[in-house]
Amino acid sequence: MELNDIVSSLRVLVENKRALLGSLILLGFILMALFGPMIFPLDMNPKFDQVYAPPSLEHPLGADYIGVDILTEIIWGAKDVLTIVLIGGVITVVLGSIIGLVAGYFGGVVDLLLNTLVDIALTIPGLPLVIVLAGLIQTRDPVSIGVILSANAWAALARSMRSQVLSIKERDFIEASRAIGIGRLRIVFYDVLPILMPFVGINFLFAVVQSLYASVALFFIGVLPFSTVHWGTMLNIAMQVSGAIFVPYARHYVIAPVIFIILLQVGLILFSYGVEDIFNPRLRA
Amino acid sequence: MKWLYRRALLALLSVSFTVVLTFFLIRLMPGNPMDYYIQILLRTGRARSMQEAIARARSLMPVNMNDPIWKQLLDYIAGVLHGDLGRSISSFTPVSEIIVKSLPWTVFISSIALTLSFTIGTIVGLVLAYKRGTKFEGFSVAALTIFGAIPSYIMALILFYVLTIVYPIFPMRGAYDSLIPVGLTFEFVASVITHAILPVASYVLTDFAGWALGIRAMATTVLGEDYVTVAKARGLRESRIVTDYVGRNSILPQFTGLVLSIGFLFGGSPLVEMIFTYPGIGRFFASAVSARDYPLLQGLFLVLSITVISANLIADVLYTRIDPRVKVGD
Repeated sequence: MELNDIVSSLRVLVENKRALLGSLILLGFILMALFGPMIFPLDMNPKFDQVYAPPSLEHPLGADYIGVDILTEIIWGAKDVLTIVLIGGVITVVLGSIIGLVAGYFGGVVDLLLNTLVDIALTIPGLPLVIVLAGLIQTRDPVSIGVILSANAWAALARSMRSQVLSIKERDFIEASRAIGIGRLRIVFYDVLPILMPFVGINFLFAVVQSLYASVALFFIGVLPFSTVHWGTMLNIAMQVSGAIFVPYARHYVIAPVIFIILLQVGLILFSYGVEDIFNPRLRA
Repeated sequence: MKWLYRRALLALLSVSFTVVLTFFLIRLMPGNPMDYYIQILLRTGRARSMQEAIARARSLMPVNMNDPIWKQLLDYIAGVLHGDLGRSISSFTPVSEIIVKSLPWTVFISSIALTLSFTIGTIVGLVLAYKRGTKFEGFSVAALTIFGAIPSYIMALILFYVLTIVYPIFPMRGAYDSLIPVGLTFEFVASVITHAILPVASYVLTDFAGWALGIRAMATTVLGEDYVTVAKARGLRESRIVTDYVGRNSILPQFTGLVLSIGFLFGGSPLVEMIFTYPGIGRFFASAVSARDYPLLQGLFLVLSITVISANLIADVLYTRIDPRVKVGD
């Protein structure tokens, strides 16, 4: 991308209200995850005189079922939530792109095999598969969780990537690369992939939205060992462990994670619509 | 016809893949589920001796864990073909019995939810397309985007919290009031309906937005077509233009989505059912995961996958009938 392109992309981003709002929300979350933990140390020691303390100056969002400050938990949780979601998105996109590129460009038996694999992955119900895998592979490692989250999410991207490649494959400059004897893998990654980068970028955002949906569900259902302050875990504790949801004076403990989950989800969706506008000028009517 | 065979073969392949996958996933995990269950029996005192615990654990699984792995796999497949999915660790009931009891509840709420979200979404989307360019439209689209962004289980949690705890208007758990005798009486039916409202609303409130935005985009394109301008020039009533000219032409792509959602009818959402303790297949799925009830988990996942795979197969076949323009095959 040249400087001019970047400037015009930024202008579209600022002019598009949805995209602007979305990117501001995301920026807020990223800053919170990066610098929040440095400013607000997390003290998980129970303080029994503070249990379910209502919002105050000392605890802006109140305190939880053992008296820990909820705002600090949310801030530390943002780090966990974003890390897992980003890793899940990256793995999904890398897997989906590579399989789609190779299937589309190589054709023949390779395509038949990969395409069958994609078809199988598309028919197996997604969230249940992720839950079963997470239940069996008890892990705390963010990368492993990312792999579980992409269990069959890659398939839809591989499918659409493949059809994109099929149309690009016949263009003249690819033909030219073939004619001067460049290897197939090199053509795939140096000639075909760069053209599809905007497409990959948008799908990365969609993959992130999907892994946020699935990862919060996993923590909420309580499958992953909860050692963290993940927002999904907070909901799990509120609903099934501490029973905070049934206690009138513990309302803030339920409301805080719900609001932050919705805010992040809305920010991501607005931002991905905005990015779609930027890369797809035909929609900019 | 050749396409149909290929499609059916693919479905069969997916089913076999899932059967083998569930088998190996659970067999090859560190910490054999059998040993885990034997430990539980001994620890909770439900079995007095090691021999008793082993004997009880064996009776749960349709296979003998001491056999070589290939024989276990064959026995497992034979069991699945006979409908024998083993027994649940936590309740000792046959897994197949749990499935037969829970599946109808899931189909009940998710089919109502799907019908409602599709109908409401289509109407809202058409209205918005007709009011395009107005402030009302801009505001509604923003609201729909936000509603569509909320996961259904978060909506379920909000509804559960506000309408059963803060304002106890709706019942908190179950599919009907257990004090009312089961039967086709007014009281029982009313109880079933009041218990279904909140789970259904959780799906509808989040899903209708997607349908509405989809048909709005489609209808906006159709509104620019010449035949719509001609219809307006002829002085036809607006309601007639919206339903007969725009509606009919923009609803077809919606059916693709509808047909693809058939799989959802049998799966529902484990989290929504967990939140309302609704006795559907999703709720048992959620509790099997947290209780590490492996035979139940294996059976539920298998049945869930098989129904979704078959539903998709039927959907694909149906769709080529609805829209003859769909090119069959690749």
